[in-house]
Amino acid sequence: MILVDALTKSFRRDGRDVLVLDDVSLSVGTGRIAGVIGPSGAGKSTLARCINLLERPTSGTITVGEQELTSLDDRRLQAARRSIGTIFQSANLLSSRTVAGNVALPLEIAGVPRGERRERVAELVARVGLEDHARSYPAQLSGGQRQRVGIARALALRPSVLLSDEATSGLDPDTTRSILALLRGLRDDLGLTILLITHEMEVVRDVCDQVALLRDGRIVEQGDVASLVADPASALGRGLVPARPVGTTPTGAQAWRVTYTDRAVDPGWLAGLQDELGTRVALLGASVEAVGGRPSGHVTVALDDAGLDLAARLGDRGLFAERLGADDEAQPPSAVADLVAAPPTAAEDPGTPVTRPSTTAPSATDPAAGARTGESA
Amino acid sequence: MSTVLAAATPWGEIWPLLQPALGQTMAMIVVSTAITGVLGLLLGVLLHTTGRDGLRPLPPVNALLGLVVGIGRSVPFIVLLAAIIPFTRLVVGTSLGTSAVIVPLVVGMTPFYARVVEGSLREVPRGLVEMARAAGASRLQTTLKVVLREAAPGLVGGLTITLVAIVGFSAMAGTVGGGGLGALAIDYGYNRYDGNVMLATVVLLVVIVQLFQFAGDLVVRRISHR
Repeated sequence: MILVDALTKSFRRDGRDVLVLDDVSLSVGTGRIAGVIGPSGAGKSTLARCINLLERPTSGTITVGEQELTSLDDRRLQAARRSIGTIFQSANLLSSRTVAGNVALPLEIAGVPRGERRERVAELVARVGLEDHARSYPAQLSGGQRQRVGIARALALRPSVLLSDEATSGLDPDTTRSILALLRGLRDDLGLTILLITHEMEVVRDVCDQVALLRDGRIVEQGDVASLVADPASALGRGLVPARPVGTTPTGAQAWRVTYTDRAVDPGWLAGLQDELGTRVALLGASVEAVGGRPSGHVTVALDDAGLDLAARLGDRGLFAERLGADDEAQPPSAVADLVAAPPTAAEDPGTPVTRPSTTAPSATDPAAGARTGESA
Repeated sequence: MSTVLAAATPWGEIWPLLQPALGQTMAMIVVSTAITGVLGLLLGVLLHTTGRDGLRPLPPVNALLGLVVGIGRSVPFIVLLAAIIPFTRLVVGTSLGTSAVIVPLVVGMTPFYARVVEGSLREVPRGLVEMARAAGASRLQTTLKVVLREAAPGLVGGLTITLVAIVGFSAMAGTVGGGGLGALAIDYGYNRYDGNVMLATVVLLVVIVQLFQFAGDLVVRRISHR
């Protein structure tokens, strides 16, 4: 279990305090995989570094397992860190040690006897599928293999929590998928609690149970991936399953966005719709993806009969329909991707159809941003 | 008379002349380098550890160490040789002879190697230090198992450079009666116009430097897996 409560972190830079994390609270239950997503500079890495106390929080508490970390002295903290496995973006392997040597490092640090160490290393190297490379040096490995060594090393001391700071950034999509599959397998087998810091929506969609969107040091939205995706009002949910480019609505027709995340929904729901409604149904855009093992459908259709209430007709089948205005269609398909890539600009933010107040994060141009840097106005 | 002065030692008689000088030079080089290596390593680790990005930043201590190293490096060796004679006497009981040269060599070269060590340690990626700390390593464990081990190729390479510099400075040993190849070259080659001795010592010094450089490079290559 990971519990972050009211965490703030400010750095002193050029004689003034810069607030990097602002009242961040986060809770990840045992055996769950949580994602923290956000644009670069949002404070994601600082959050990761605060969780294992590589960076001391300015205020707030961090609880991992049963232990509150910020109150521990150096020696106790060293011991506590052994129950947190950390994997890094660049894997951070020692170039002077072989794969086996790197995996053995935490065991040496913890004073595990040689024989036991050797056994455990062999087991770990096999677990991440690198039996044939145990005696290779990091320079001889590919990026994905290096990351696997990093994971094996992070697991060496049987931690209850795994912290991953952009571990799949810089890996190609196939390698990313295999690393994520490995992490999911480890969670399933070992009951690990995993916190993934990432800037890739795909990572969250593929592997996370829950997700928090961090922007400008604040959590602007968080929740279970499945319910966020099911919630048409969630900006993060729409970011996870991006709307596809939409064709133009025929003149006089009404466009609807239909979403569903229920396994019980008949995949053939669209097939008979036209006859059933007695009006032409034009398909403007559609995506169906698996999120957390459940189908997640986002379909945009246009009905020739503009007066028909599709929401009422579909409501009892687990399908959620929402009427789209002319503005919504004009919304560029990239707008949702911008959720993560960059803070929204003033121009496109109001265009987002259903935005919760909480999702309107302060942008760079926001006057509130100035106050956060600690300048006294 | 000029023929007497200019008379070069016949080649057949050169070896008996060279042999003791070679022994003295090797003793000076090896002993000085060994002591310098140990002291410089300690000083360099302290410099790095107490530095701004070190594992335990201690600005006042770091400034003091920096000052000591700075002073050590700015005094020309020939001046140092004379200036620390009382200290030399205190340490080895005499200010003359081979062992008396080792003291100023160590005093002069330790600050140099300390800076080389500090530079090598700084080259170790910060991420590795963070990784070790995150894995629960103490500062000492991080230094021994990660920082020094990763910096090892640079440390050995730096020690080779230090050794070559020591070969150069050891030639000044003659000024305090320390003997060695440098002194031989000055006494015979320069003062007595003995071209053969001059040539022989120069060749021997070149060979010594090359051998140590080769050995150093070999070790670096063996321990580097980048």
